[in-house]
Amino acid sequence: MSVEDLVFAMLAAGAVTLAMRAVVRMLGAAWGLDRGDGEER
Amino acid sequence: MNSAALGQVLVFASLVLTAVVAGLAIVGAVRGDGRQVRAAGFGMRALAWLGAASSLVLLHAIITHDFSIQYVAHYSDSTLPLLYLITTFWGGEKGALAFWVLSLSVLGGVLAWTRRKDPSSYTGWLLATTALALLFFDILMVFASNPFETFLASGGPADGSGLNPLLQNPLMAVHPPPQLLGFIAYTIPFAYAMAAMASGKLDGSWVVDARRWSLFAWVMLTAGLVVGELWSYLELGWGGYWGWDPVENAALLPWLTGTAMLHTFSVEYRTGLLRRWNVFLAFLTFFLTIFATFLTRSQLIQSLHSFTGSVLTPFFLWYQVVLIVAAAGLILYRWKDLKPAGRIESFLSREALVVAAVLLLLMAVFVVVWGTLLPKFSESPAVLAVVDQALAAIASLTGQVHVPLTGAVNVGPEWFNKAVGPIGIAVLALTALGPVFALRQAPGDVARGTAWRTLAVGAGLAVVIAAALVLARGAGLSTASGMPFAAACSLYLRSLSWAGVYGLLAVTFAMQVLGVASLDWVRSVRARRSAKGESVRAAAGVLFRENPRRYGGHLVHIGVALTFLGYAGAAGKLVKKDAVLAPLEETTLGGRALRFLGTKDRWEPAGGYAALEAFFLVYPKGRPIDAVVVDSVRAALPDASSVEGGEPPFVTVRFASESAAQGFLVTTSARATLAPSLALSGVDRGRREVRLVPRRPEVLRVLPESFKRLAQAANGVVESAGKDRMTLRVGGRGDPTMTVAATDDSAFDALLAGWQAGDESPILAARAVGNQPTVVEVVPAGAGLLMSPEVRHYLKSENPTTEVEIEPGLLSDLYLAATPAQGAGEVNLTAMDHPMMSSLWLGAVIALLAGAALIAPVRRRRETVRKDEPGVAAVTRPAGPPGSGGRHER
Repeated sequence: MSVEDLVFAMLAAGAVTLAMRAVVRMLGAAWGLDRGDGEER
Repeated sequence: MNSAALGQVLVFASLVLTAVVAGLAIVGAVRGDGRQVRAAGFGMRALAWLGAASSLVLLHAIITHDFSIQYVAHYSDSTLPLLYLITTFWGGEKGALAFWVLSLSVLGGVLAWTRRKDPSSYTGWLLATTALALLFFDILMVFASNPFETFLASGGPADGSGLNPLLQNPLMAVHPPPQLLGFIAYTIPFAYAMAAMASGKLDGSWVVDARRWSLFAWVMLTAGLVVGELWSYLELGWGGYWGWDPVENAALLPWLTGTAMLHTFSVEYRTGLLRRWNVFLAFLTFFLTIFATFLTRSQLIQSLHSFTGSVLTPFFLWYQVVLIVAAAGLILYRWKDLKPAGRIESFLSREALVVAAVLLLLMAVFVVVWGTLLPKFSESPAVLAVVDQALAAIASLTGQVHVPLTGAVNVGPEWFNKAVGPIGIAVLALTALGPVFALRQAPGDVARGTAWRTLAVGAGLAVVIAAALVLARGAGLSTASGMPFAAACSLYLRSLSWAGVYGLLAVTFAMQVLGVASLDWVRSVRARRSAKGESVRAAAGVLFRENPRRYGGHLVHIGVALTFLGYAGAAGKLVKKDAVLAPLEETTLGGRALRFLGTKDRWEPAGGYAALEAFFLVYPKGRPIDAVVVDSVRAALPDASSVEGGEPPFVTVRFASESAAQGFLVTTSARATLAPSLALSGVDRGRREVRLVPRRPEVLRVLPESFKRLAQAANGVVESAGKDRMTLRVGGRGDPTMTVAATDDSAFDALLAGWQAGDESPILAARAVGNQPTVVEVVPAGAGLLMSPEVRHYLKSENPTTEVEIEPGLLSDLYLAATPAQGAGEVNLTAMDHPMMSSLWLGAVIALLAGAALIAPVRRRRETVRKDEPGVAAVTRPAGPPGSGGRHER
C-alpha cells in the first residue's frame, strides 16, 4: 500500500463514516428520536 | 474490494439514498411533519459525504492509473503530471457527470445544514426539489454513463489514451470546475422558488434566502466564462477569446438570465415588485443550465467542444419536458398569489430600468438560442422554407433585394456580434442609468432628486470621451494623410464600420458607467470624510460594509464597464495580419516590425510532446538601432574592422577579408540554427568531415518532417560558406544523419566553431550582403523583443496545438501565433494588435472580487438608516420587503 493509497483510504473512510452517521441521524429523525443539532428543542 | 467495485457501491448507495431523501422531503412537506423534513435534511448531509467518498475513489483510481476502469483508460495515461490527472476527473463526460453529482450533493448538504433549524413545509419542498434534481443525475450516472464502468473482457489496457492536448493547459484545468459549479449552483435558487410556490410561502422571503446562492452561482459562472475566454485567447491560436461557438453560447445563456435575476431579486427584496419575474427567472436560469448541458453533450450541434456521441440525449430531452411542465404548472397555480406589492409608477424609476434590462437580456437569450440552433434546424427543408419566406417578407418591407436561401443557414461570429452587440450596448446604457434613479420613484420625485445632476455629469463625460476618441482618430488621420483636420474627422466618422460604431458606443456607455459608479463612491466617501473625519480607506470600507448592495454593486458595474472597454477595443480597433515568412523576412503590424529569425525544435519529456518554436524579433518600425546595442556587437566581435548600425534590426559588420567574413557567417549560422538541434557524432579532421545527428530523436518520432527542416537549415549553412567550399550529404531512409564536408581547413574550422561557441553570443542571426563579400549583417539580441510562439505535437494525439505568445501591454497586446508553412523553413504568422485586453481582464477580476465579497457574510445592518447619512442620500428608502421582518442582510 502506497502513501497515496493510505491517504485516500483514510479520507474516503472518514467521508463514509460521516455519511453513515448522517444516515443514522436521518433514521432517528424520521421516528422523532433525533431533534437535530443546535436547534431550539 | 477494488476501486471500481467500491465506487459502484457508493454511487448506487447515493442513488437509493437520494430517492429516500426525496420521498421523505415530499412526505414531510405535504404533511407538514417536521420529523420527515428533518430526516430529509440529515439524508442530504449524508449524500454530501457519500458524494465526497465516491469522488475520492474516482480520483484515487485516476491518480494511481487504474486502467481497468474505462474512464481512467480513456482520459488519462501514466505520463500525465498530477495537475492534469486531477483535470481528468472532469475531462470527459462521465467524470463531468460525477463532478455534477459531487457538487450538487455538497451544495445540497450545505443547504440542508443552513435550513436545519426550520423543518417547515417550505424547507421540505426545498430539499425535495434539490433531491429530485440530484436524482436525475444519479440515475444518469448509475445507469447511462457510469464513471466506474470496467472493461468486460480484460483488465484494461497497459496504458491509457491520454488527455486531449487542448485540455493540457493550466487554465483548462481551472476552467471547468467554476463553470460547472455555476451551472449546478443555479439549482438552489430554482429549488427555493419551487419551494415557495409549492408551500405557498410567497412573502418574498425565498428571494432573501436564495440571493446569496444566486450570487455564488453568478460569480462561479462568470469566473468559468472568463477563464474559458482566457484559455481560448492563449491556447486556441485563432486570436480571439469568444467565438460564439455553440458551447460558449450555451454557457452564456444562464449567465444572461442569472444576471437579470440578481437585479430582479434586489428589486423584490426592497419593494415587493417583480415577484412573477423572479420565479420565472429562477426557473429559466436553471432550465438553461440543463439546456446548455444538453446542447454540449448531445451531438445536436457541431462544436469546438466536440465530445463524442452521448447516450444522455434522450434523458436530457425528457428531463427538460418534465421541468417545463412542473414549473409552468406551479407558476400558473400560484399566479394570483404572486401578485406584486404595487405597480411601477415611473419609467424613470430603478425598477422600470431593471425590467427594461431584463427584457433586453431575454432578447439576447432569444437571439443566441436562435443563432445557435438555426444552422441545425434549417437543415430541414420545411424550416428553411419558412425562414426564407420570412426573410423575403422583411426584404420586401425594407425594399431590399431578397436572395433565396439554398442550403442550411450558417451564422458566424459576425452575425452574433451584429445581433448581440446592440443589445449589450443598450444593457450597458441602462447599467449607467440604473443606479442613478431611486426605487419606487414617482414621476415628480425624479425632477426634484439629485439624479439629473449625476446623469448630466455622466452623460457629459461620455460625450467628451466619445468626442475625444473621434478627434484623436481624426488628428491621426490628418497627420498621416495631410488632409484638413475637419475633413479627416468627418472621413473617419463616415468610414466607421458597424463594428466601429458599436465600439464607439460601447466605450461611451462604459465610460458613463464608470463615471456614475465612481462618482457615487467618491461623493459618499467625501461626505463621510467631512462628516466623521474618517480616512478614505476607512470610509470606503464602512460604505461597503453598511450598504454592500449599493457599493459592491457599483464595483461589479465598474468591472463590467471595463470588460466592455475590452470588447469595444476588439470591435473597433483590432489590427490583424497574416503573412508567410521565410527566415529573416519582415512584416509590419501597426507601428511595429516583426522579423522572423528561424525555427527550433524542442522536446518536452514531461509533457510528452515535441514543440516547433518560431522566433520573431519585434521592434519599432523605422527607429534606428540603439548605440548600446551596436557597442555590444562591437565588443563581441573584436576581429571585425568596423561595426555600425544598419537598417533595423541589422548591424552591419565589415571584415578585413572575404574569408574572415565567410568564416564568421558559417560559425554564426551553425551556432544559431544547427547546434541547438544537431549534435556532432563524428569529426574526421583528415577528410574535413563532420557527421551530425539529431540531438533529440524523440522529436523525429512525433514529427518526422522536422528532419527535412534540419536538412534545409544545414543546406543554408553550406551555402553561406561560399562557392564549393562545403557539401552536404543527407542520410537515406531511416538514417537520420547528415554529413557536412569542407574543402579547406578554414571553412572546416569555422563550421566546428559553431558548436564550440556556446550560447552567450549576443548575435541571433547573420546574413551575407549580396555584392559585398567582406560585409555581414547581423541581428543582435538587444535590437528588439524576442517572441517565440510554438506548435506542439503530442505523442498521443494527432492534432497539434498552437501555443501563442503574447506581449501584454496596458493599451494593447501584441499577439503572435505561427505554424509551419510549405516552403523551406517558412512559417505562417498570424499577428494581432489586440487593444484594451488588459481592461477586459482587469474588469473581470474586479467584478469577480466584488461579487465574491458580496457573497461573504456581512455584519448585520442597523435596523434604521438615518435619512441624512452620507452615502444614502440619493436613495429613498422603502420599507423592508413584505413579510421579511426587517431589512438585515443575509
